[in-house]
Parts: sequence; C-alpha cells; structure tokens
Amino acid sequence: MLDPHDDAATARRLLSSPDLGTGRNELGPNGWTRRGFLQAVGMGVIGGTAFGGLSPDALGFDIPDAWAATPIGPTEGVLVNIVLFGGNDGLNTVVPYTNGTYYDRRGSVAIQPAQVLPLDGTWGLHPNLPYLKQLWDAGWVGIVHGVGYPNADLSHFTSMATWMHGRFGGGAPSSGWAGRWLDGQPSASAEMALATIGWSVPLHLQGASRRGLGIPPNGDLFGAGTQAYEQRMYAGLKNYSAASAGRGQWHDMYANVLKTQLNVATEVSPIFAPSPTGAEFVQKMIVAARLINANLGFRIVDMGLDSFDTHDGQPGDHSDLLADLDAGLAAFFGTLNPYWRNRVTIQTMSEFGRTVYGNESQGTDHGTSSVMFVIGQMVKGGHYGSSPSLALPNQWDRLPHTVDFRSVYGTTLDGWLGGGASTILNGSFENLAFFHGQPGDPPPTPTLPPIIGGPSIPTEFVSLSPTRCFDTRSGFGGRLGALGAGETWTFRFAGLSAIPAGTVAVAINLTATDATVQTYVSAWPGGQVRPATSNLNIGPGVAVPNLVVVRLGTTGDVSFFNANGGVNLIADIVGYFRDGTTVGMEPLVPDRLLDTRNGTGGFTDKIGPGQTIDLQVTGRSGVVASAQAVALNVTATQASVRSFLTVWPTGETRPTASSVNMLPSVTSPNMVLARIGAEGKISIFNSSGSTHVIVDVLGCFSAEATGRYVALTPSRVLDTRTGVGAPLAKVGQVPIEVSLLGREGVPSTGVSGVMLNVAGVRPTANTFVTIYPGGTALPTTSCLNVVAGAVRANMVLARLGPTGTVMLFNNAGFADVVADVVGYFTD
Amino acid sequence: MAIPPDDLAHLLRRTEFVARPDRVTALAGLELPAVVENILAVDTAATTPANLTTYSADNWGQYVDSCDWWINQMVTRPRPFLEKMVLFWHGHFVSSWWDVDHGFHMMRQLQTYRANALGNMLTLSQAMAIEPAMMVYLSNADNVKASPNENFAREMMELFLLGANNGYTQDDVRAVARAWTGHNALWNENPSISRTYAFRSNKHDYNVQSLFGLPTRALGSGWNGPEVITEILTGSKKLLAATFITGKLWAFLAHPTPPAGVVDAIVAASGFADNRDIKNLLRVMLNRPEFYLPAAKQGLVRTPIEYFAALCYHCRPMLADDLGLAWQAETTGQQIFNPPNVSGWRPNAYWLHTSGMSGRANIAQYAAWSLTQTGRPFDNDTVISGKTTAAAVDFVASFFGLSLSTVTRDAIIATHQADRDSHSWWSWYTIGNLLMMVMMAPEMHMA
Repeated sequence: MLDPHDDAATARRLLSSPDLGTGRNELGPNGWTRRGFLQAVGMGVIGGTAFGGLSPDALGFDIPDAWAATPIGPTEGVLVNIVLFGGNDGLNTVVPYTNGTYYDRRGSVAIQPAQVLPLDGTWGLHPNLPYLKQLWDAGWVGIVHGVGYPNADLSHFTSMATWMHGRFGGGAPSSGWAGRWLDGQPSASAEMALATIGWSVPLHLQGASRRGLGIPPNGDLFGAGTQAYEQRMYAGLKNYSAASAGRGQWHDMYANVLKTQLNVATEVSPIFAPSPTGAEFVQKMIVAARLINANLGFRIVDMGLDSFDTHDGQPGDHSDLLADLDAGLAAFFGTLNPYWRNRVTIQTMSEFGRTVYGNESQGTDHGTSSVMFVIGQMVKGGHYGSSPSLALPNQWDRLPHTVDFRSVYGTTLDGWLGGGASTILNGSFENLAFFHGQPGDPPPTPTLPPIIGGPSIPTEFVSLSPTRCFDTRSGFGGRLGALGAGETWTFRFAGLSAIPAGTVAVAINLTATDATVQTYVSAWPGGQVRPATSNLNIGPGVAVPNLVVVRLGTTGDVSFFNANGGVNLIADIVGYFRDGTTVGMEPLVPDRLLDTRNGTGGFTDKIGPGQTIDLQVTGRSGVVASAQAVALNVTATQASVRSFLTVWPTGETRPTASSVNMLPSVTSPNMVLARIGAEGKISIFNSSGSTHVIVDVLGCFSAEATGRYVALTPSRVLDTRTGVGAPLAKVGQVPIEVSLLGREGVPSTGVSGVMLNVAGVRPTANTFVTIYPGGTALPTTSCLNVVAGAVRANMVLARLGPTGTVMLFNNAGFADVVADVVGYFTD
Repeated sequence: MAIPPDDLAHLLRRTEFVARPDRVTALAGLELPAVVENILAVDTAATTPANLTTYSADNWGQYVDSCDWWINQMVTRPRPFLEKMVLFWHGHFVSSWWDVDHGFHMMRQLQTYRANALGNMLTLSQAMAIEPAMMVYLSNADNVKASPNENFAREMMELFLLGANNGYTQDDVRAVARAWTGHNALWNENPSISRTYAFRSNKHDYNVQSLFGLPTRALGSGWNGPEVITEILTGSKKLLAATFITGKLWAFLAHPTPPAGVVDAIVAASGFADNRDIKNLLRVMLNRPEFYLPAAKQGLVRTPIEYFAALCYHCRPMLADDLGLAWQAETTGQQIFNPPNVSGWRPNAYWLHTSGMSGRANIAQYAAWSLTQTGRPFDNDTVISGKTTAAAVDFVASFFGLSLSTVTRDAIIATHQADRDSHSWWSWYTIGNLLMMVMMAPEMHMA
C-alpha cells in the first residue's frame, strides 16, 4: 500500500508521471544514433521509395532483410501490454459457466451458460470475445487464474500503484516494472524501446533514470513537417534544451521532452498513414502492430482500455469493453506482419477483479484476484494457476489470490524480454513457463493461425465468360478515379447479375494501370481487417493483371487497397465459388498445352493483330472430356507492341475483357480461370502487334472431380526474406520444398491443392519460377516471369505432392520468393 | 514593504492564470497582505447562462458551449481567482460529463463549486455529496440497503477528505457505504429533470453501529451518510482532513513537495480544522514566505487548461472555441469536465511527455494562425518591421507576458535570424515561426 502520509494527490501523481528526482530525462538529449538510418528506412515504410526505387512495402509490408541494422535482434521478443483500467471482472471474462455458486452469487449480472463461448467443461469466454476464442482454439492463449497480491488493497490507486510498480511494499512507488526494465537496456537501444500509445505516460513506464515515450493514438505528432521553414523551427525548439535555463527542473524537463517529441515525430509519423480506423482501442492496437512492423526498436508497447469500474450497469458496459478488446486483438493480428508472430506476446493486466456477489445496481464492486491473459504464437495455450473457490459467505468477502502477479511479470521478463526479473521485481517468483521457447524460435507445430473472418465452407466453381465488373478509369461499376495512396475502396459483388445469392468467393482478373509510383494492391473480404498480403505489384508505365480469388465479406463485398501514389483498377469476373457439389476440381501436374514458339498445341506462329486462335484443351494433359473449365497460366512473350490477350469460351462472343497485358520484350504471365466452350476449346485473342503465347494447364473443373474449394483470408506461407516457410536465403537453381498442410488455415489432411499468390522479388537475373507438386520431376512449365531487379506477382493453382508439399524452382540467378495462400482444394 | 514585482507576477500567475498588466498596475506598491486580500475579494455571483444549466438534447453542443463559457470566465472575470478555485474543486470532487451524461447536472455541480469555492468546507462537502452528478458518477444514485455500493464511501475518504488509508479501515469503508444507502438520485423520465436527490428511508440501513472505532450506536439509530462527513470534518478526523485538504491545495497553488512543516503550520495558523473556512486558509497560505521561494516559483507546469486560458487571454478577443478547445483538449491530456478518473489530474511530469507536447504545439498553431489574420495583432509586418531580430523576439515575448531565459531567447533569436535570412524578410513563415517559438517556449508552459 502507499505510505499513508502521502496524500491522495501524491499517490495519483505517482501513478502517472512521478517526480523524476533528477529532473532529467535520459531520452532525447543524447544519441539518436540510428537517426539517419531510420530516416532513410523508416520514412519508407509506408510511402517512400528507398531501395532502388522499389517501395519497401511493395509486398504488403516492409522487407525485414532491408533493415540491415535491424534495431531489434532476431531473438528479441516484443511485449504488448494492455492495461484494463478500473478493475476488470475476471469472473465475467472467463466464466465458470458450470459453477452453481457463480450463478447464485452473481444474480442478474451473471453470464448465462448458453451465452458463453465454452473453452472446456469448466470455463467459457464472455460472448463478446469470439476472436479470442479463435486464438484459444489455435493454442495461442494462456489464461492465468487467481492473479493478485498479498493483503490486497481495494483502492484503485493503491492497487494500481502496486501493479504498476511491480514490487510490493516499501513505501510510495517512484518507478514501474517496465521502466526499470528500460533502465537495464543498452543505451544505444533504449531510446525507442518502450512506449505507451495514449495521451499520458503511466507509472509502469517510469524507470529510475529513463521513461517510456507517449505516442498519440491519432498520430497527430507535431514535428513531422518537411518544409525548410518547419525544419528551422524544429531545430530552434530543440535548442531550448541546449543547456539548463536555470529556471528549475520542470523548465528543463519541458525543454528536453519537447526535443524528444520532435525527434519521435520524425521517426514515428510515417506509420500513421493511412489513418487507422475503428474504435479508439482498435486504433491503438493497429498502431501497436505498425510500430512493431516498422521495427523502430520498440520492445514493449503499452496501452490502456477503460473503464472497467463497473459498479453499475455492468452487463452493457462490460460487454462493450470486451467487444473493444476482442476487436483490438483481431485488428492487431490482422495488421501484424506474420514475420513477427513468433516474436510478439500480448499480456493483459488490471488492478483487481471484482466481488463475487453482484450488487443492487447491476454491478460488482472492487474485488481482489482476477484473470490475466497471455497471448501469442509462442504462448503455450491453456490454464495457469488455479481459481479460488467462489463459496464466500458474505457480499463483502473477497477472493484470495493463488498466483502472485509478479510471477506473470517474471515469466514474461525472463522468458520474453531478456531476463532481469529478479532485479526488476526485487525478488524471485514462480516461473509459470507459459512460453514454448525463446522469441524467434520455430513456432510449435501444428500452428493454426488466427482466422480473421467467419467460417470457410467447401464450394464448387462456376466458370463464366469474362465479364467486366468495374473500371475506375471510366466510372463503370460506380467508381470514377484512381485509388489514392493508402486508400481502401470496397466494391459490392453481391447483387451483380453474374453473381447469384449464396456466392462465397469470386474469381476476378484484376488489372492495375496508370500507377504513378511503385505500389502494390491488396484484395480481401470486405469488412475485415486488411491482411498483410498483396495481390499485385505495379510501377509506372505498365498495366499489370493478376487473377484474384477472394472470399466475399458478409455483405458480399471485396475491399481493395492501394499502397502508394495513385492507381486505376479494372476487374473482370471469370467465375465464382458457391456452396454445392455438382462441379468438382482436380489440380493437375502442370503441363504445357500451347507454345507458339515451338508448335506445342498445333500453332507455330505468333498470334497477329486482331487474330484469334482456338485451342483444344479437353482430352489433353489430364483435362477430362467433360471438363467445364480449366485453370491455366497464360504467358505472352516477345510481343512486338504493347497489347493484351483475351481468353474466353470458344463459340461465344468475345467479351470486353483482358486476360494478359504485355509490353514489348517483357514476358508477361497471368493465371486464367477459363470456361471451356464449343468442342472442348478456348479462344485466345491478341489485340495489337504480334506475340508468342504459352499456355500451361494447372487444374480442371468437372462433374467427375470431387475437390471443393475453400476460400481463406489471405495469409503468408512463404517468405524467403524472413525465413517464413523456407530457409532465409534467396532461391537459386536448387528447388525448395514448401510444406502447406496445417499452415495458415490449410488443414493437415484432405487437401489436393492450394491457391497461392506468388511473388518473385528482385531476382539477380531475368528469370521465371516454376511451382509443381512435391516429389515429382520438374516440368517444362512456368508460372511467374520476373525481370532482374523487379517485383512481380501471379496467382498459382498448385497441386500438392504426396507429402503435402509443393516445389519451387527459380530458373536463373537468385531471387527472393513470397507466397500468400488464399484458399485450398479438398481431395 | 511593497510586494516585489517578481513575487507579484508569480502570485497572479498562480491565482489568476496570468499576470494581467491591469492587475499588476493596480496591485504594485501594495504590501503582500493587501495584495492577497484583493485577490481573495472575488465576486461569487453565478452568472451561468440559462441555456447551459437546463436540459439540452444536444449533449455535445452543450459540452462545447460549457467549455468555452468557463474558459471565458477564467479569462474575463475581473478577479479570476474564483475560477482557479472552481478548477481546483472540479479536479477534487470529481465527476465526468460522459459518465453522468447530462450536461446540466455537470454545470449545476460547477455552480455549486462556484458558490462554495472560498466558503465553508463542510457546506461544500455536504453539497457535493448529494449533487446528482456525484451520485451518478460514484454510484450512490442507486445505493440501497439490500446491496450497498462501496464506490462513493471509499473515494470520499480516500480522495476527497482523508487520503489513502489515512484514518480509516476497510471496515469503515463498508460501514460508510451502508450509511449512505437510501441517499439516492432518483430517475425521472423527464429528461429535463433526469435525476433528483432523495432520501428513501425504506432503502436506508439504520443499523450501522460501528464507525472509526467510536462508541457503538444502538440498532435503529446508526450512522447516516451526511453524519459521516460531519464526523470527519468536525469530529475525530478533523485534523487529518484539514491537513489532507491543505496539502492538496498547497500542491495545486504552490508546488507538490511542500517544505517540511509548512502544511501543518498553515493548518494551525488558519484554524481550518475548526473553522473550515476555505478563504481564510487560502489567506494564510498565500501570505506564507515559502510560497515565494524559488522551489515554489519554479515548481509547477501550466496544466493544459491553464495554458488554454493564458493563450485566450493573450490572444483576446480570441475565444476558446477559436482554438477548438473541446476538440483539441484531449490531445493535451486534459479535457474540462472529463478528468481521467476519480482522482482528478496530476501535476508537472504528468503533462510532460511526448503526446502532450504535440497537443500543446497543435493548439499553438491555431493561435498563430488566428493572430496573423486580418485585423489581428500580427496581420502584417509593421509590428516587427524596423526592429532588430532581438527586439522583435523581445516584443513577441512581451506580448505573451514572458520573461525569457537566456537559453530560450538565444534559440529564438537564432531561428528568427535564420528565417529572415531565408526569406524576403517578411513572410508568413517568418512571423508564424516566431509566434510558435515563443508560444512553445518553456516559459510559456510554466505556471
């Protein structure tokens, strides 16, 4: 408890920004040794053009290996600390839904058994925590029961002071556990290692000699201007701290903090574009994830959610708060670069729980012990500690604690933040061992990722002749004008004449054009958090198409995001996926159906201007006679002029649509889902000049096939730049094998193939990439062509080999390869 | 001996937000006791406009208007110390606009602060306890015998009258919670009434026999809520309470770390434990020599509200609304009518962090823009043209009532010179930067 001679105002002051004693803040005045580096790289995270003209965000996030002087070491963990201010009611968060005593005591404040999200036969989560439930199901959530401290004090402030202090007893606290951790960090990395996202800096971020940063949730950081007159002003303001003014410690501290603020603005401002949206807590969590993604050096990111002091009106208020918490968690993992998943742990804390008895005002009063959550890929999911008995005789009786809160801190400090717990906490406490291993260790298998959207269901594919849905150049479809930098635009597919009710996912050929700078475009189910994936990459002067197979959001929408500059988008729908079993899918070993350069498929010349060829597809390369549609990779090469190809069912009117766009002397591939027309043929039309065309078949849709497609929210399964899914090394001419089963929403059995969006990143030579089933011979096909130094993406339907893997081969030089899974086919 | 000019400026900044030139002129030459008497001679008349003290369906609009109105009171009242003390009580007997959710209750509470701000501590405390805003905020509104609610009981002793664990026990918290049962703010469907204080005898627990270790009372005639406040302020706890409140006032007006013995000496000299006279307590406090030591003069950072008020005064007739007070306040960390929690705001380092700096700078940018509009004091170069760089800097500093330190002044001069060198000598940037440099100087942000 606090020294009783300290008045309450002092106690309160100590809880937020205590007297520093020395009056000096080590932050800011010295160092900023990484400044130049961070300016060059940090500014580029969102909108810049560092790295040879290529946006570092080109594939949906920054490129970790570009951070040559990575501020955080590869085995250093990051902690996101969430403070549930006001005293969270643990019993209504993790509900003992089979315990009659709970219902007896709680009365109308209780969460009824039918409402909870059951975790097991004893515990269920509050109904507003569905995403946390998904994380639990994935094995990512540790629930520590009965957390508290001896001789609990029921005052918010004494209790919160104890929790923030991280020690017990010994008079009024002047520092907190995270601040003392910061004190122990090397000075070179301490500048930007600890921050709270909020308008004030709480006690636990205060160390003996250092203090964490406060980052405004809205990113409204004074000091981010780049005009010369602004830079002059900032430089002048920083000079207020050039020396002590002789006007006392607060005057000097103001000057120092002003300088720190200006420095932080320079480094942190870029992560606020585009502006995060949603409830304030959701925005904070998005900002936290972006801070981590940007790798500015932050090891502890803190934030608060309040007020959990639910003395009255608890059912509504507490439900709203937990909904915010859940939405924040979903937004966080939706924003966090998957690269960081095995490096980030979330921890919740609150000053106390609440009384077992409900009160007359539909509320609960200050209690003692409560639950804490620890969440992350490297957390061993399950229950920790034990829950105290609820059989208390009187309303005023409080629950005992079974786990000292310092045990949780100690486990996190020693297991995740580099040690030092016994010093920081001034004692040794039981290690709860809730981590699988050290930060950065290989995650446990199988790893089921959090699924961001609703349930996915098996579907059948209905192919269409390509039909235009929208064109932002003309306004067709309702949107006129390019997408701006950082803009998310949502288009409703539900209701289009081509799209019947019950459509689960759509296959569209998405073409980007008129890009003003290097950028990338992402597509994902409307209404969901934007995933850290991308669909196509484009720069000025070209038109780049890519097949996009994307699940619709709950209202039939797909969201599109443009990262940098402006870009126009054109979409042609080529089919949709619906609940049904009349048409199946069989992924094939890739095989070449057409190559006009050598006569494969019966054509020996380039296709001329305005010329159409009809290509036989059924009865060849595993395509059955009854096939209704095929998945193809269509490549144009040696084009004489800028042109495009259109692929459609033979015998039908050629639609206004493009399947492949090409420039002279650039080899341009695109995956095409093509409905088969008369006589088992497809037609291919070339608009201008002449070009060679290559067609590889990847899969076949027919009534005989049994495979169904399950659309997923896009998620990264391979990134050779970070070691995700394959060793951290560029790929040469030795094929790499990538395992897909049990990863990122793909089941561990019953999968015949996956839909991947594959990008080749800055190869050292002009090259192509071939993807083929694991354990089979390298075929003479290709799925992706990339010019040296460029980034290019293409959708690939990849059949899995007998052991559930695909092989990836790079034809020339060395290249990084990135792949996002967007769905899979069942057996 | 006449009050030294530096002491007068310090006293006025602490009691009246800024040292207004007219006040300095009027008070210079008086001795300290006479200056203090002048400052204390406030007009407590409640002039709150009717539209802010009656129900409005436009809760946000009423909030904006109320913020603007109150800041304007701080800036324009002839003797603004009353508003400074209203601000103190607002941060002491806390409630929140957004929890109470009825603006007129908040403004009603503000009138109660104003009427008693320099009055009697017992009267003020009893009045605050039954303000519907307080009763809703700390859950007494529905506190009944069948299920007592501890919220008000705990905070009343911990935060309002005694201090954490200072002269009471957990058992006392429970007893006080029961003593306040039946003192409720009853709901009325008419939104223009909303909640009314009422004592409901059938919801009151008459059997609170034990409190503070005092002699046990008979069943049926136990402690009643208001009696507890009277007991604390006039009975066995009166010295603890007087010391607690005096310490908090010293922290608010002087600095948070009083020299040893000062608080006790003020309590003793004022007789506050016995007379509960707030104005007399302040009289003794403001006459103390420790109030004028460097530790006090350099001991407080302007809170964002005080910074707002100072900007509004220096940039008058610019109103708080022109600075977007209701919108911008959150970025500074301090919103009127919305303390962060029941403990109110904290001083000094609480405000000095990277988020808050950004908020203060953003507000300064609004002010700089306003000051350079047509017809405003810096709408053209005539105010500084012809002046040397240093003279121009001193002119702007004087405009904001600041005496700059050498470090600050040198930094501004160097920047202003660089601006002059970089532009044809007049440009918006030149004057805008100069205004920003002064408004963001540490001197502007010290109370």
